[in-house]
Amino acid sequence: MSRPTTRTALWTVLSFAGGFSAGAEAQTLDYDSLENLFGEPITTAATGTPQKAHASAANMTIITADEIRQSGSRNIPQILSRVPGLDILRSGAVAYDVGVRGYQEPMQSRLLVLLDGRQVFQDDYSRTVWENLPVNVDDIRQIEVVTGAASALFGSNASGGVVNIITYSPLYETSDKASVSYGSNRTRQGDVTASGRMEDLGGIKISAGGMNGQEFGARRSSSEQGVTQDPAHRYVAASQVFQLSSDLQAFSDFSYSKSRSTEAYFSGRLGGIDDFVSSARGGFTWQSALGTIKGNAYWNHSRVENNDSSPYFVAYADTTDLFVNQLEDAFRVGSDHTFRIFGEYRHIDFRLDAPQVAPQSPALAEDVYVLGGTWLWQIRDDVSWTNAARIERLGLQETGTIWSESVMPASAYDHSLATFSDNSGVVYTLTEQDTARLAYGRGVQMPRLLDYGFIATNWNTSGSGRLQERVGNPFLKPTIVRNYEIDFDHKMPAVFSTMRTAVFFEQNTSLINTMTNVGTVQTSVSNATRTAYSVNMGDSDGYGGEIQIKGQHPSGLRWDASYSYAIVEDSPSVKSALGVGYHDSTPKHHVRLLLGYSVGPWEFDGDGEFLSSDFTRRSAGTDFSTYTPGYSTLSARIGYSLNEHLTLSLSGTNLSQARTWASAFPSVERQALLTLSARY
Amino acid sequence: MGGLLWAALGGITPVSATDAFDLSVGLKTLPLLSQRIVGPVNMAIVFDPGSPESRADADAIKAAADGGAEVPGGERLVPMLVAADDLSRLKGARLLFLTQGARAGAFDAVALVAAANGILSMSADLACVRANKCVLGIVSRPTVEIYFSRPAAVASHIGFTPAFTMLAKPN
Repeated sequence: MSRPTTRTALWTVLSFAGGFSAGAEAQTLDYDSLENLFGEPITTAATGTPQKAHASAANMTIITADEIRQSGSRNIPQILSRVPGLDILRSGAVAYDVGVRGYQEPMQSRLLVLLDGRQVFQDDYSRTVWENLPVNVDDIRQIEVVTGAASALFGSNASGGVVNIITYSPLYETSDKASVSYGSNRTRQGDVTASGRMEDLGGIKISAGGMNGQEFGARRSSSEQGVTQDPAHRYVAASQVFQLSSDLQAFSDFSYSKSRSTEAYFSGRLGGIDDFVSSARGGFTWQSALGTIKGNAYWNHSRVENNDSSPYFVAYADTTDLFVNQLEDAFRVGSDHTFRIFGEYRHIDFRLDAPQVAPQSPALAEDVYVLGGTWLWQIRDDVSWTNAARIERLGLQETGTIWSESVMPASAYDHSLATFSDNSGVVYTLTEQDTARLAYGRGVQMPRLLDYGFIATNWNTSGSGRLQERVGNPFLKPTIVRNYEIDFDHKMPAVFSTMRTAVFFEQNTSLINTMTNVGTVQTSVSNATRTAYSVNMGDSDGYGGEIQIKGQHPSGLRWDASYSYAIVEDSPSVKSALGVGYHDSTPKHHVRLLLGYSVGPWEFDGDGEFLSSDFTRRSAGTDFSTYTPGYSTLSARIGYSLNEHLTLSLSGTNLSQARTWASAFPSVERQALLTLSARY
Repeated sequence: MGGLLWAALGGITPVSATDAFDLSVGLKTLPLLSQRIVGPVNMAIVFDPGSPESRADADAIKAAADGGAEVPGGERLVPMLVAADDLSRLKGARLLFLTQGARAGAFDAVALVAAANGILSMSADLACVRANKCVLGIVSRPTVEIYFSRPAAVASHIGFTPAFTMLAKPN
């Protein structure tokens, strides 16, 4: 087993010794006061420094706490399904993958997800375990969604976009909420958040919750039935923020979460997966003579247990430890230039706990050094130009032992590579009502840890009796995503609405196909050893656009209508691990219509969606290769405030039919949820 | 002191009256102070007694303050009219709202007294913040913009959260 390096330990100790931290802006920003003052949401997502949402150089959608409540959803992917450009692939009752502008597949890698500045995207499979997030949905202040490559701003794996989840800061806002829900599929859910503030000195917040339910009852093969398990989730999270002096804030947070689900792997096979994730973080924000200096250090520990047992593989587990240390300085030069420079050190240990036929005990370590910066130039009152760049150097190291006859010897893993990403965006405020945005991003999607270091040998028990060897491929190139985009926003005060439009063109090079079978070799263990590893398979282009009209009338009526169009063109060699090209797995058309009305203590909200056809594949012993015709869904919520503290709501999803055939995976069932919420 | 400086009054600035919305925007900056005001917010509305426009603006601000202007956080707002030639009455004030239409010489007087007493000064007349005499300049329409004078803030020992200073426009 590898251990964090001395450098890792030193960085971490220094950061915590200060007591403090930061990805920090998210945690220490007084969003409420700033939004109240400037009359629009504030974000740090595009530049790392606070900006009014309309001035952001990235295509950004901000989902407010009111919109989250009105959605009636108790899970984040369903809330995200309202954002133009995002598509949801659902492979189980709580198993979601969120795709950005096409490239739909299980264990989606292209979307980086952050929770209060901490990465909750998991590097093992490069995925987000949405059902495992340690957050009370009622405690979310806003969700910022960036579509388009944003690696220079957020880091690798923000190749398709970013979801930045921000909860209420205990320093500035009290957040005392509780809710209990009961619904179909024997769903029982409860969440509670309690906070305490000491005037302006500090605040503390604790959240805890859990959920139990029943997996969808759709038809499954016998092998799938063996791995199907009912969903469950438990979590606890605590955060503290202190104002140590007028110039210095410090914070720390801790979380633990475990979840159980049945969901699709990247290959399209359903499996039962248990995730256990814990985290600790500290940081500071210091307003110094040199600018606003922030430090942020955190540790994510995740363990994944797969009960996936098939003739082709055995149950296994993997453990990932991620240490992140970030330091940045944001400062102004003159009245027109804002800079942010940052450095980052990441260390990852990845260990596979699988029965090995061959004598080996593999473990992989990654060391990543990052330098970068952003520059916001307010050229004129109505024109700003944002630039960002990030350079990374990644070093791999095999820290365990590898079978001497492996096709990829241990020395091959001592490998390094350098990458860079950049973003540039011009925002032109044409009139009080019109804003145009021209944006470019070069994003980097690093290979999964699985691609680099999933090293296992087992017997194929399906008949051949051959040894199967899966090896990492340290020579994989990262996928590069270049996004070109023109956006235009138009306020229509006469009809209380804002129209947002975007057209984009995206180039993907060096896409990765995970665990492709690459040949047979002779070894002393088996006459024929079948070997598989991940390869770079080719390129792909995407293009399309989005249009959204959203508004609210003083009478309480609100609306949100949008249409997304996406086309993906793959080079002939491109087929995802799912076994289909991205051209086929991308629904071209996505139409959404949301209507809501608030009157007195009542809130009524309805949501209709239509997605056009696509093609997915489910590997289940017997193939469920599926062309899914276009389908529509209806969701609704009725909320009633019993008094200033209590709200009762009834929400339902997939109301138009008992089962919705949305992909090759089990049909999505109609669900209803009764929720009692308290704010105290 | 204020009276002496008042002798050096300059010309009259054209006026567009400060209204309740301008005042509410100004008050919404208070939670963003690095050291928040605790307790009643004594707000001095400083006017130029020699300028009818300034006097009228002061009355408008006072009316808005008395008419239910809210301080975020629920603290009580206590407005008082203070003539620019009688700034000794500023003691005890936590916030100073300078009217529009005051002659430029009033800026110096206000700045000195605000600095000496650690008072947050603001005005919808941007000339004050541009001269580094007021800490904040308030623009509420068509969109809210806050202008921030770091020298004036330093002189008055006033600090704001880093995010606010990033979002405010330098004077």
